[in-house]
Parts: sequence; structure tokens; C-alpha cells
Amino acid sequence: MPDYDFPNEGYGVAVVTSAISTQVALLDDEAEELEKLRVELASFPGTTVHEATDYKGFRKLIESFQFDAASIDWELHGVEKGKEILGFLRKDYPEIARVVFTKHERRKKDAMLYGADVCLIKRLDDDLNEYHDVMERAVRLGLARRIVKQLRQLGHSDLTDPPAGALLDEESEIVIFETAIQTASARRLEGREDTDLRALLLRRGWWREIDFNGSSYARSAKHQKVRLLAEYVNASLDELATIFGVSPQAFETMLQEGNSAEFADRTLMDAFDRLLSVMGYVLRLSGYDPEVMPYLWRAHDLYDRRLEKPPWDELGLGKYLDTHGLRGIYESLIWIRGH
Amino acid sequence: MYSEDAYEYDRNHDSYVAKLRDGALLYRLASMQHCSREDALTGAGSLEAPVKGRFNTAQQRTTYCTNNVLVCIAEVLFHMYRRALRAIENRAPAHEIRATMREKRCLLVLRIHEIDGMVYADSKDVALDFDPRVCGASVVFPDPYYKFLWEFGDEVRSRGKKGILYPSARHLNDVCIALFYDETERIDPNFDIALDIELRLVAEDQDYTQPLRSCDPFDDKLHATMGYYCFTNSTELENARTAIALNPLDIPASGMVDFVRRQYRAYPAHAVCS
Repeated sequence: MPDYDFPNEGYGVAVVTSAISTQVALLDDEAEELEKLRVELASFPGTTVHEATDYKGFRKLIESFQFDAASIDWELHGVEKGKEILGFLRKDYPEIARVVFTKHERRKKDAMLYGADVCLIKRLDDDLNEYHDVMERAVRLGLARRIVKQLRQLGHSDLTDPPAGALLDEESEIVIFETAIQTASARRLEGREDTDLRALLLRRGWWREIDFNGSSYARSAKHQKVRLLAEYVNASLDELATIFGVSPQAFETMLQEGNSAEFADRTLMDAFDRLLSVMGYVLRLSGYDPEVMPYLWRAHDLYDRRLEKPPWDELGLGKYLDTHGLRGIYESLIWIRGH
Repeated sequence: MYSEDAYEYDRNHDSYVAKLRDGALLYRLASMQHCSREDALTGAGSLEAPVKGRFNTAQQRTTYCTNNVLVCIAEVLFHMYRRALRAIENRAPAHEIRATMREKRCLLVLRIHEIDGMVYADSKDVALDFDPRVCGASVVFPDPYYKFLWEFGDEVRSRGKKGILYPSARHLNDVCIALFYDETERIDPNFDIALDIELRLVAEDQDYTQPLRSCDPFDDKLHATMGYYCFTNSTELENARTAIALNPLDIPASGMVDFVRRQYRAYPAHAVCS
């Protein structure tokens, strides 16, 4: 496991971008331009850039690796190859996000017509900010297409295709994320994991590979256990601090050192201990597989048919604790111990 | 070092007077969350539990432990089995039902200083002095709890006694120990043994001579009288043996055990299918 480092995005799309692992194909015939773009793309976390300077080399490249996005120069060595390249990608590799990056303003319409997802015009001042943003989103589009394709194969026929000719909006990405995590977690809990989906989610940074060492966990101090479990369930420091009604700094001190001036209050210490029990229950529910703990922490309406539902079922455990504070921890633990 | 003499109770089942002598070893299968010495004998878990135990009603402080590792294992396996059935009966989601099949725990071996003022439940004097319903047959009733045992527990508490020694309903040998107060201060801090252990429910048709196969509660019938345990760290186990901290000392590292009372011709060899 990495060092203690809560992701920043909490309940939304819990993107741990640092874990993303993608491949981008870069096609440009000008050496200087190629170098500039390569440096720009290589600055993306977890991104490997492969480059080509002509169409033949590009085709070979595409056939050799699994790319998520391609940056395409419309004109190569004086010949406009954009239409042909886009046709090839659309037909044989439709998941790869297609970004045309050209100096030919007049070709923008053609590029979109022939299947580009985005067409950007090269700026005279060499400012690559827009290109940077677009390529980052293009990579996510490519991965989203692969994930949706895999989900379809697993029976999610109702899932809307990520757009062609446009980048992915955040709302659509959240739907894909939620569906993918739910599917991957539920299948893993049932002992029929789809390894391809997991591999894609790992590449996207939506899944963390965790090798749980029960022995060292059991021998850790309580605050270290809470810290670890909080990381496993993907709960942010702010969320936990909100539950306890203390500042994030106070809670962080508690997690790091096992004590904090604000936690001198016995009520908070007891609640901290109860939170450990509640999180421990999630660990046991997961079958000691922390990789599915974020799902179990957030999922709601899991107990539809249960005769005595847990108090958190409507909201999901994490949100329930967030909204009910210390009382929520207590009520949850009472339910857990009663069942 | 384990010694039978450290548990003072009338093996002839006459007197109820009992105590745990200085140096007695207590075994407790703690959760992975609360397996430190500071948590082991507080009884805090039952204080915040709406469920009842054999000698405690809801939210009544009690710590359950034993003087025999196999008793511990058998007791927990039985409760895992009951929880699995309850989860199915309550229409729990599939993952919750599956989670009942397996538990990782910590076997805590605690050396304690003397705890006097205990009551031995399996004695004639208990029937005379406390409750006539507590007798040889009823004290090992197979259900998890009975009202008259709570009343007996309350009576023992009201007389200022520290706890009860009683025969396990899940294993023939040795005793279970219910402590009614926070006895953390009685724990000898210079003795610290914790062993990782995994417990599993098994399928009815599990072949004892074959390696354990996974048990799916939706396909398999659960074994109603046996379960599986495995100490996951053999070095820790050997160290505990060397320290003569286990009873039985030659408990196998893994195997299947009954969670019903049964006579064994050779102990523990016949108590564990390994």
C-alpha cells in the first residue's frame, strides 16, 4: 500500500489519478513538434507515449500496443492523411480517442466529419494548455469506451456509449464509474471476478490493488487500523472529521499519532473505537478483500430484501455516518453487533 | 506456562467455590480490530451489544474466555454457524451470507493474576444455593442462551461474584470462563502471545482426508457439527508451544473440530481431524 494519502475527491468519481496507467500514440512528421508534444504528454501521470512520424509507422504502432488516445497530425510530409487515419482508427480501433492536432484551420470541419473526437488548431505562440487539457480528457474517453465495451459484454446493455465527436462529460463519467465499480465489486464478492474489467479499472485509477496482510494489521495500533481502513474504504479526511465534528487537522493528528487534544474527550475516543469496529465489519463483509471495501462503504439499498435492514442502507454506510455523526456510528454498531 | 492447577474448581462437582490462580492462562479469540491486551478483558463489546450471551443479557458487561484453545475455537465456530443460518433466514444479501463462512481472528493468550470469587456452575451447590434449574444437564443446554441462565448470571453478579466457570456446550473438555467486570488490571503485562487464526464453516460432504474446499452456502449444505480452523503463522504457533502456553499443547496447526460435545478416546488427537 502507498503511504497514507487520502484521495481528494471523496464520494464523487473517486478518481485516484496518480494510479492511472495509459498509453498515447503520437503522430507528427515534424521532429521539433514531435518532441514538444511528447514532453507535454509524458508529463501526464502514468502515461506512456509512443510516437510515429508517418502513417505506416503509425499503423504499426497502433497494432502493437493498446492505446487509449491518439494525437494525429492531419498533414504528413506534405500529404493530407487525416481522413485515412481517422477511417482506419474508427474501423479497427474505435475505442481509441482521436484528437486531430493541425495547423489547417480549414480542415477542422473535415476532421470532425471523418471521425475525430476533437480537432485542435495549433497555436502560433506554441501554447499547449488547451492541448494538454484535451489530451488528458481524451485518454479518459478512450478508457471509458473500453470499460463500457467490457460492461456491455457483462450484460450492461443499457449503458450509453461514450460520445463520438466529443469528450466525455463528468456526469457520464460518474455513471460509468459507478456501474463499473458496482459490477466489478459485486462479481468479485461472488467469486466470479472479470479480470479484464479489473485490469481496465486499475489502468483508469478507479481500482487499487491491495495485498492485505491480516497479521500486521491485527498487530497495529488502533489509530493505525482506522487510518488503514479509512484508506481502504476511500474515505476522505474531511468526511471523517465531519463525522466526529472536529477539524481535519485534529483528525489527522489522531490518525497519525493516536491522540489529539480534541480527542481528549472520552465521547470522541469511544466513538473512534466504535468506528474501528464498524470499519472492521466492512472488512469482514468484504471477505478480507479491501479492494471491494470502497463499494461496500458507499453502496446503498443492498439490503432490499433483508427483514431487518441496517440503519445505513438507504444512504450507504459512508454517507450515513457523514450525515448522522457520532450517533450514526453508535446506531450502526448496535445493528452490527445485533446481527 | 499452562497448568491445570491454575483453575481452581471442584472437579467432583460439589462445591461452587472457584477461582483463577495467579499465572492462569486465559484464551480468547478476539476480533482483528480489538486484539490488544488493553481490550481483551474489558467486557466492553457486550456493553454495546443488543444481543444476549449465555450469562449476559443485552448491554451487560461480560468477557467470555476459556482455559482450552479448542473450546474457544468450537464456541466461535458454533456462533459462526448460527449467524450463517440467521443471515439466510433474514434474507441478508448474498455477500453478507458468504461473509459468514470465514473469519480471521487473533487467539490471545493472557496470563492473569489471581481472580477470586468465581462460581463454578457445574456443581451441586449451585443448584442448592443459586438456582435449582442450573444442573448437570441444563448447564450445557445446546442453544446459545436461556432465560434462566441470565437470571443465574444476575444472581451471581448480585452476590458480588466476579464470574462463572462452566462447561462448554460445544466441547467436552475443560471450562469456559465468563468474567463480569473489567479485569484488564489482572492481566500480566509481561506475557504477550497472540496467534493469527482463521476459522471456516465447511460443507457437509467435506472429506476430512482431503484439503479443505471452499464452501458456498448457496450450493452446499453447511456442516452442522464441525468447522475448520488454521493457525496461519506456524512460527508463532511453535513459539507458543515452546512457551508451554497452549492447552492442549499438541493442538494441530489446522484441522476440523466438532462444535458439539463429544467423548474423545485420545485427546486432542481424536478431537481434531487434520
